[in-house]
Amino acid sequence: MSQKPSVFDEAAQWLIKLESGSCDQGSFARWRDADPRHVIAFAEVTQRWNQMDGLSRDNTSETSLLKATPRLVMSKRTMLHAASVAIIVGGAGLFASRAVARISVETRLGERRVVRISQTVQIELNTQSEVLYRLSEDQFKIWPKSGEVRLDIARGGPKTYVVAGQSQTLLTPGHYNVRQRGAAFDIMVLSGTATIGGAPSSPPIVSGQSALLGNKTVQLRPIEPITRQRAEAWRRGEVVFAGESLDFVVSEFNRYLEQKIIIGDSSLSTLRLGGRFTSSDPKEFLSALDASFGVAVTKDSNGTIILTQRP
Amino acid sequence: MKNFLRAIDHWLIQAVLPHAGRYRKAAQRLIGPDEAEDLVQEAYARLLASPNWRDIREPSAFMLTIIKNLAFEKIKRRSIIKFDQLAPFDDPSLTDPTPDALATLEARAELSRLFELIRQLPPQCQKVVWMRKIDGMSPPEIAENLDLSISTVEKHLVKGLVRIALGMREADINEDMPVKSKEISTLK
Repeated sequence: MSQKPSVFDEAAQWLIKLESGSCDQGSFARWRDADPRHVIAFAEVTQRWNQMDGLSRDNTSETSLLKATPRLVMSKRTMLHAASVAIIVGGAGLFASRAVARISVETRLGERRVVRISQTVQIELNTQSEVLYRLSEDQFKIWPKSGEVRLDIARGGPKTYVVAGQSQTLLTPGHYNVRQRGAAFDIMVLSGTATIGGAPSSPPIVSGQSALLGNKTVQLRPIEPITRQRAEAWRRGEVVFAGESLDFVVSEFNRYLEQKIIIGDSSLSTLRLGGRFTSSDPKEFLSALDASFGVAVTKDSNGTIILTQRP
Repeated sequence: MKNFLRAIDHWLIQAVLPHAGRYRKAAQRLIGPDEAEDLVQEAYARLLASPNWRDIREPSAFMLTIIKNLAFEKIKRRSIIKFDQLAPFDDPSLTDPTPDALATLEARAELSRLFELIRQLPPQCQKVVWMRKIDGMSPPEIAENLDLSISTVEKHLVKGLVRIALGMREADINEDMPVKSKEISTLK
């Protein structure tokens, strides 16, 4: 092999350090930019690191990776699943591993992606989003990881579960919008019913309600009309507002933009706006701000868009 | 989230690298196994040097074109051309983009390979990788659990990751994606 292992070694070391926060990004950037081979090697190890997230505990617990040792040592967490772990004695060739893998779908910033998973299940990812899913004969399970995803479940298919906030939520045929909010996930029931598993006293969540699933808590709220409209609009490449603050509007827009918008004058933050705009290009939104509110729009050397109040 | 990854890095990971098997096989068939890896790396360098990477519609097709061009340049400079090892330049399999139906199949095959490579790691290294990526434990938790220093945990993660990345590269060249028409029809 002509690619020296040492470039991979360097790349892997950088990734592990960056992941644990124990190095400075400046030195990393200098190493990366020194050679295109560094860029590629780093992208490659990151790709493999990310792909390993597709092997979760519940789909690898059927088989043991651990080679034969006189005293089998497992991590504390794996021991909880000891009942389902098969212990292999012998060499590498003695068992067939059957990893029932999760499939990962991701979108880049500004990208939307529809995935038709089966005849009865379709999902659509919004900007910068990631989900993992697994389809089997009797079940469709989806793990939202980041961003926003729309779920369209038709009748006649397997049971559908969303895994978020430490619980599994069963979804009946219907339409749902799931969005990450900080460490929690917001499941908006546009039609259908969602039932949170493991919380027998929790009522089913019906159409017009949303459930914010945190680590240990569930908050139910009604869906505001504008929130529902926004959930439909992103699929058309639009953002819509009805009286929200500029702060909120800008943070929504920035989800889609590579060159972010910054509010330069705090006095502008509380401006209230309404309207419908293309999410991929803020041009019309920015001219509307200028024309309606006298907001000055400038760009800095990085291309960042800065909004200031005209004197 | 991962703010050390730029837009171009995400693009490489999601749109360019997933087809690396195709690049390696094409390079191998065009100029033989000895120089294939170098050719693929040169192709990546040319890709990165393109001014408008955002405008590239089909990155995998673009990479295959670069590979063909680089191979052609190399072969012109050789004094002897080994016809028996080379694929003709108009071989359609060198430029066809993969139909979407195969993407799911490939994702599953990749995960099986990954699983197999983790299985082949040395025992302590395997334990650390398993705890980090499959159990989702943090390096300090792993260090405490296995009574190791954090830097040793990190060394095992680096070693495991390097072996896995190298192993996936080799698998790209050695394995053929099994594509049975029966499996494709059940993907609807």
